[in-house]
Amino acid sequence: MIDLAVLRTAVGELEEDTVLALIDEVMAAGGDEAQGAMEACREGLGTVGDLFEAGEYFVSDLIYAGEIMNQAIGKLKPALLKSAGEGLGKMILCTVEGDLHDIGKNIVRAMLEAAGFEVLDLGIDVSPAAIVEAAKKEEVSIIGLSGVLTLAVTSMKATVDAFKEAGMRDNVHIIIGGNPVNEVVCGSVGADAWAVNPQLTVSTCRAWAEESR
Amino acid sequence: MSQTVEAIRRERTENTQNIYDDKIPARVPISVSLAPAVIAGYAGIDIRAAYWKPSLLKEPAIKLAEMIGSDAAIYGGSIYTPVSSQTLRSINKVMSSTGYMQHPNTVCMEPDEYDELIADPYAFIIEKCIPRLYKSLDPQSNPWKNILPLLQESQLRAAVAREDMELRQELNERFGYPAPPRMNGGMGRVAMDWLADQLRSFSGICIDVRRNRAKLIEALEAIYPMIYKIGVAKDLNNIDRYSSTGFQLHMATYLREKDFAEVWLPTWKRQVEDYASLGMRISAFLEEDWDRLLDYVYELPAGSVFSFEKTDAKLLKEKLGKKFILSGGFPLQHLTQCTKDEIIGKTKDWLDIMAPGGRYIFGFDKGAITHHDVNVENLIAVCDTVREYGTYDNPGAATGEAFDKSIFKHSELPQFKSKYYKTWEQYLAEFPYTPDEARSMVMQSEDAMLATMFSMTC
Ligand code: B12
Repeated sequence: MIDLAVLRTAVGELEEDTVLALIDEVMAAGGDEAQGAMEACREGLGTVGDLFEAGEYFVSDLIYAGEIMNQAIGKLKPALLKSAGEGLGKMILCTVEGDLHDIGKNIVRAMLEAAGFEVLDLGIDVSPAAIVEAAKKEEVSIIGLSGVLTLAVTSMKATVDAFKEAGMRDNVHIIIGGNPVNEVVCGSVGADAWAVNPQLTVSTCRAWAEESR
Repeated sequence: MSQTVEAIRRERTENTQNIYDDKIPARVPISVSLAPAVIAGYAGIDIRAAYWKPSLLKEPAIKLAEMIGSDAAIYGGSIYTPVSSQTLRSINKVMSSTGYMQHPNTVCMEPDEYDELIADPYAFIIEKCIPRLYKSLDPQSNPWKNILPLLQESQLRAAVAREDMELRQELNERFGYPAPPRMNGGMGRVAMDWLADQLRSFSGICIDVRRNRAKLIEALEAIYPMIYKIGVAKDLNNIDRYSSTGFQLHMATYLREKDFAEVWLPTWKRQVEDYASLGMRISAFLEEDWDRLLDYVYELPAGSVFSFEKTDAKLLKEKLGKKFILSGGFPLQHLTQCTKDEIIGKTKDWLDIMAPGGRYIFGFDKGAITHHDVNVENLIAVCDTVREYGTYDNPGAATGEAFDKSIFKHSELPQFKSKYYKTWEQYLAEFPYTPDEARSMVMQSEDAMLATMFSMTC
């Protein structure tokens, strides 16, 4: 048995060695605690987000947190897959066309995976057509679009429009995020929700996933 | 050249020199230039053609120069062009289909290669970074063929630079822009920013600063002699304080204070103080928001020039406005988001903060990327407002804190060494019949090769 509170704090304080040692312990013991460990990591990452908002952590800390999470998830994955019954299903995430930034997207992916989503990460600079195509092929109904350039807003709108043209707009939930995104942008793009805070991203997507069960 | 143009040039030159001489200018100087892509977009010219033939931009540049009252040449030129990057098949500078030059995330140094970098930084650039960043120059994947692209690139670059120069000269002659200061300063790079930008990548360095901290610090120490050499003034007996070695301060604000103060800052501060001890001036762009770091900036040599982006203007002026020269900062977004009346009001409000006491050069917080970022009407209104509203009634009066080089002591600097860099003695040993007359020529070429290879990793 590991102390989940210690794990949660270690993630929040970005103590990589402690986090990974605890995760190794979970896996060495057969992985039964994987789900709980994942939840603790996610809460720890929430603390990281809060400290970032409060101006105590900075972009480099977010990146390091994302790196720690990715490693933790990598280690826990085999055990998590065994108990996949509790998963939230598939969703798509990518950086939109013309934008090559992916640091924010990768952090969001780590959070969503930690929450139980199977995230199909389409990468960066992804065209509207490719996103629609993937949603169709993989039968995915939750789409997360990331972008930090101002021009990403145009690509987000083009993506929403592409879903309309494909006659699929009513079958998908679209959430957008990244630096230039706000309430007004969300309205003009025609997305269903927006977030810059990863916690809110997770709760919105989870609500959609549970609703469609 | 007409009398009036000469008079305009003299007024502009004197105005700006006053700022550098710790005097109140007659009016706030205006430093606004437009990137080729902006001028091309404005005129409906394909930027992809203008990168190769800058003369295509002559007509619109003249038209814009007639309307926009900037004291700097309106044609700003560009650092990244497809001419070089495509010839060398660069992966760190690529053009989008619309002609927008961009810098994707690139890594040309792995986390386990710190020791190799530390052993000989210049050799690491030549043997590892260049082949990884420039596919044409990779001897493994491109045996024998890697010589021609380098020749072709310098040929093409020179051809384009000639036209670029002609265009600048023509504009200077017509509009009386001040002659650029003697290029005495070198190319400024902050050691950790250089390592971050292309070698380890933005995210890579953020992880190293935690996981590989000691090695990273050791590397910053090891690359210092190279970074110093590239940025130092070329003629130490003839330092020109109207020019400066310029830096773009990149990673600072993305780091927590501990990492900033213990890892990022020390090598740069050393560099700036070493240069100050020689009498050199430095300038730096404070990327992002420096509010929380201004006390550190305050410690730098008086008379340094800081342009800024999101740092709070009031706070900056209050804390640093006496000791340093400030420039830039006016939000570019106002150009497209304000009406003409609104932007005139905002320009006046801005000058109320920045102009008092002199020591300010007007400019924007960022450069426009495309013509969509610029409403020309508004830009004209802004420059006119600065000219009319930003005047002083005591030009020539002393202001600010004077720079005193004697308070700085040069640090102990190890000699720059590399297996790819020959000292004159090494060169002579290899080519014993070289006359002494060739000495400065040979050494200049050694330095120029180093500077070129280095700048290819920037
Ligand atoms: C790191 C960085 C880079 C790195 C990118 C590395 C990488 N792998 O991503 C490099 C050096 C490669 C780079 C390149 C460029 N960059 Co850049 N870059 C940045 C920088 C410093 C940080 C961005 C970042 O990662 N932030 C941290 C993350 C964690 O924040 P985030 O993305 O907002 O994500 C959070 C939330 O928004 C949210 N979120 C994110 N995605 C999603 C998705 C969903 C669905 C949801 C719900 C939420 C969500 O959760 C995240 C966690 O909290 C910013 C400056 C800044 N302060 O933002 C400039 C910046 C974004 N870059 C900029 C520019 C111009 C460029 C270049 C075009 C420069 C050039 N001429 O080459 C190129 C880009 C080429 C291209 N086409 O994309 C400008 C954009 C200006 C504009 N208005 O468009 C900025 C703002 C810098 C500036 N001040 O000028 N850049």
